[in-house]
Amino acid sequence: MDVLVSIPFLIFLPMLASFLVMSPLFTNNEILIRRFTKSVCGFQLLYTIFLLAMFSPSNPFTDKISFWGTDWIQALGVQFVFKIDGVGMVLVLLTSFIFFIASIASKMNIRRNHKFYYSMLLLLMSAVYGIFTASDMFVFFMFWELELIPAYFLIGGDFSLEENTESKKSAVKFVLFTFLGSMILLLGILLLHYYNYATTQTFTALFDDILINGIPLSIKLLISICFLIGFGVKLPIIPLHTWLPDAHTNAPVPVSMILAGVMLKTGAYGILRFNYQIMQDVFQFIAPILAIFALINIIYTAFVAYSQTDIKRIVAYSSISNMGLILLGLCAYNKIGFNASVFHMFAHGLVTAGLFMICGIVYMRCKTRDINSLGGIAVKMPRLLGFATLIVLASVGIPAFAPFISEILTIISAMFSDLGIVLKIVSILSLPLLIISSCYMLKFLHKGFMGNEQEKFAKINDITVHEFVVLGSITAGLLIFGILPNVLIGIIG
Amino acid sequence: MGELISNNIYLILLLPLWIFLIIMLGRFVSVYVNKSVIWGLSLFSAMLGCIASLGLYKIFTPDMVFENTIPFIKINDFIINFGIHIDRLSLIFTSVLFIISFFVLLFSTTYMKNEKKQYRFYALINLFNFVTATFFFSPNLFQAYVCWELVGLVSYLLIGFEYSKSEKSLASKKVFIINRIGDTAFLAGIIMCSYLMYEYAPSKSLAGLELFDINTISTLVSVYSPHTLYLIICGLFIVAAMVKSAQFPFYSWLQDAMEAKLPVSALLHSSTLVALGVYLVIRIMPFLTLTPSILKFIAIIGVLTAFVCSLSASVQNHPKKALAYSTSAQFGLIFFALGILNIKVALILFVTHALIKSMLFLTLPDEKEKWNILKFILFAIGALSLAGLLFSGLCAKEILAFSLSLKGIFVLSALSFITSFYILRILIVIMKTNGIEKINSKKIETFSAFSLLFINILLYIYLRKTNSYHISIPYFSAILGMLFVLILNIRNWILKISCPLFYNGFYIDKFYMTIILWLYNKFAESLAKFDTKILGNYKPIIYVSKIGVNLIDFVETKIMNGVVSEITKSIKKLSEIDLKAQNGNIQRYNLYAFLIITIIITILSIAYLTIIINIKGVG
Repeated sequence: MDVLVSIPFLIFLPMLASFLVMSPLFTNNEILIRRFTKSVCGFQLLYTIFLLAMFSPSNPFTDKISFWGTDWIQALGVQFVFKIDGVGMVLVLLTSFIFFIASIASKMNIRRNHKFYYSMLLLLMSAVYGIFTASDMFVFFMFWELELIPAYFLIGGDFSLEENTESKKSAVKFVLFTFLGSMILLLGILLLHYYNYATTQTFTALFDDILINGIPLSIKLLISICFLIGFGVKLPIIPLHTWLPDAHTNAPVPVSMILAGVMLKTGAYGILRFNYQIMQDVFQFIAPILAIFALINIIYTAFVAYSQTDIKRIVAYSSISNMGLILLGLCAYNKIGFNASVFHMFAHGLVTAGLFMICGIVYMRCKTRDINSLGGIAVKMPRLLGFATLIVLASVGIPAFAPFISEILTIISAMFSDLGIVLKIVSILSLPLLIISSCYMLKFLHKGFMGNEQEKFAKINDITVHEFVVLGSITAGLLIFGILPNVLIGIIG
Repeated sequence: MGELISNNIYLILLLPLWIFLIIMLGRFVSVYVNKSVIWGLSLFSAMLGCIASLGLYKIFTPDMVFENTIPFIKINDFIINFGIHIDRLSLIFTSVLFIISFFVLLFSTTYMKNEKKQYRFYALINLFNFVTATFFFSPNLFQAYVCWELVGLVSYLLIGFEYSKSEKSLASKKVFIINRIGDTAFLAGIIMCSYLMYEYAPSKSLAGLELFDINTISTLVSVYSPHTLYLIICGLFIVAAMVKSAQFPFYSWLQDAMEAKLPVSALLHSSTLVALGVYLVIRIMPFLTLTPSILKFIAIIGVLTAFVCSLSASVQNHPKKALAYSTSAQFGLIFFALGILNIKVALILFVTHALIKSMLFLTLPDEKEKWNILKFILFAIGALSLAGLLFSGLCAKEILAFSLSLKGIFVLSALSFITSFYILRILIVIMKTNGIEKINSKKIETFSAFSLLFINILLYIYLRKTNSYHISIPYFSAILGMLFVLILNIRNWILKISCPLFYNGFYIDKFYMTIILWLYNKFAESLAKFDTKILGNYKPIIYVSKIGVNLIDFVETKIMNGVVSEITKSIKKLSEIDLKAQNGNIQRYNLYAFLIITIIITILSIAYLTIIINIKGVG
């Protein structure tokens, strides 16, 4: 059975499928392409569950691809190594699940250029798997850059029936911003690689083998800041977040689900690996300042979200707010915070995918995303209201759902942190999140759904089976991990 | 019998949750759940909970505790447990919960008969039973917090039951958000408290938040004497209790909660949900006894709420609103009793109030409905009881008066006067607005209200036997209040009494809706403008990058290309000169040839001569 566990298989199967779909030999029939993609994503999900069954936190999976007996770039010590440990397993599971759900949700939302869309989706899937499993800095960077191309096309492509120039602008903004960040990230990686050589006289780029003891403090600080800027564009750290509302609002719904559910977590994962695990002592030094940025993330975006009128924008800002919580969990620098942070990555991924799905369902039927003109649609769509209530309450932090546990643990970890008084103050100051998040989320729910019935929405249908499956599985996941959190904590280790 | 209950208490506790899941999920898998099955199951679970609580209450002695926990979250040595912790105090509260729940469910079988989607109502009532019982049986503060939030959630879902009417859904949203303020205070208190225990616990391990354990409290207190942080923690818990039990200044949410249906008001917002604050204060009493200032604070808030809400209730014309203010006022009295460390009296007040108030709610008529005469009689008896003139209301007031000093009795008498005034005034208001009919149509509704009255009388007999008190000044001031109302009724001035300050609840609600909401909106809008216009403003970047692009353009066109173009220009000039020279004039060609040959011969001869001279010179 151990022979079947192979990380490169996990990563490169979707890539192969993507090239297959894109090739001229593949059929142009929409239904066949969609079913092929869904089966590939479903197979990936099953394979991930199989990996989960074979997994134990003390025994991470490792895999190496060697090119005829030598490393990838032997002269620089760069090896094509992969590793899945606790954190990676949780995130790979999240990725598989979100992509599977997004491919089911793509049925209603994608109307043109199916071949292109599904091949880019599979390529993005492969790139994200690579990010979460890479164990070498340059392999990580390669996959980090690789995800830009499909993301650009997915956000800015012509996939809906209307003309959409806004999405092209948002896609360009996204790519340029992220590319700038990853250039600075590359600077950090190269500096680290060089200084590692300068102090230990061996070339290595593996996460496990990099030693930072001998590097002078100013250089370490510079490297850490380069990493933080590079990842801070992705996990949006205010003020580098301005690409996010436009990108999430103007992308098609499944792409928004993937962007907010998975790709923001790659930024957090990067900070976890590079800053938290490699540059440890500098991180302990910067953590209080980073915690203040996390607090600004949490509180500021919650206020901004309250005054938005576009329902997708509200959800986009709520994503930024929750990523602030994830960052706060990391800044606390203890075991509780680490677990809380990874738990919230998983929980928030599910919640945000659900919220975008709901926005998409509403938009498909009502043709508008303006919260002031929606309202009263719950009378026609009671099932959607049921799911929307559950997912909105999950996002607000009601017990019995997964985000509650991670929010509580994050705040507790910040309070119990050893890194000084700043974190304790941040922990107390982030408590109003409970109130203000419920303010904007309930405004979204009540103004958007409840209220008196309106004439123009007399003919809309309730949710279909596909949408039911998507929303139902998200809600079930949130409930399961909210009631039995030890399952996920056991995986993280 | 006791063994049977103790071993199966989990099943009894989980039964309402199971029924909730059956009702909710049964619809999704299209299993047709008959209405009478739902009614039967819900009534059965409430009855079972009732019997279990009362049976265990009889068995448990005052210091007996049953506790059992399992780890819920376990990260290395940080463990948070979930489980149950049963002792007499929790059994009192759960008995009240299940008794009232049973009769409210019985009431709603006929009251909600014409409602579509009844199943959701019964499911939510069952979920409420489960969550509240779990709250009363929680062994530590974390589980108490979880159940606290879930109770707020169930209340939100029940108030917004008819979500297609905007005022009801907006009311439920408002109630939920104000309850969240209390939740935040509660969580802040828990976190600071656990930090305190972490810092000063003997072994410095991150154990759970076991705050009801007397040993933990005594070790903590022996190490860390009362201090500002301690005061802050107790203050936070008190604020949480104040929000949940609708004390001053957080009592306005109870008015919005009256948008719910009648059974919901009877069960939640008169007896059980508002009791969570009282339970919390009683549980953390060992903490509070160490800071007398906090106890004084609780007592003052209690008396203040009682007066403010009683005065507000005395000019209301809508029965539910008056009863909501009355609930706040009576709970103010309970908090006062807690503040003077008289827990037994507080519990008696709570139990009697729960029974009376739920009965009052159940006997209210609908908006345009004529008042059934049996319900009128029951309401009148309940009103007299609430005023402190009959049955257990009388008992409770007098037991409280028995333990007070003279100043306290004076305050209590004033309060009794106002209480008696408003409750009898509202009786007469309803009589005038609805009118009384003699036809008896709804047997089950009157039966459930009557049973509550019956339990009230039983409680009165029990209290008379076990406590000593005597009728004193508050009783007479209540009679004075009744007489005052009758006089006003004779003069037909009842409906003419109005006072804007009292009517608007001392403008707390208006303050919240206008000033706080306006500030919040403005702040949110300004931040949003900041985000899009300033942070998202790419104009500076575009401007800077345009300068850079222009610079590079300049270098490229003018300098690099410029050098090349200069060279080409000079070559062109040379070729023009050359072209001019090719004019076909042979004499010119001869002249050029002659000139050039002369120059060449001159240069060669000079060179030859210099070389000859050099060789000669050397040689």
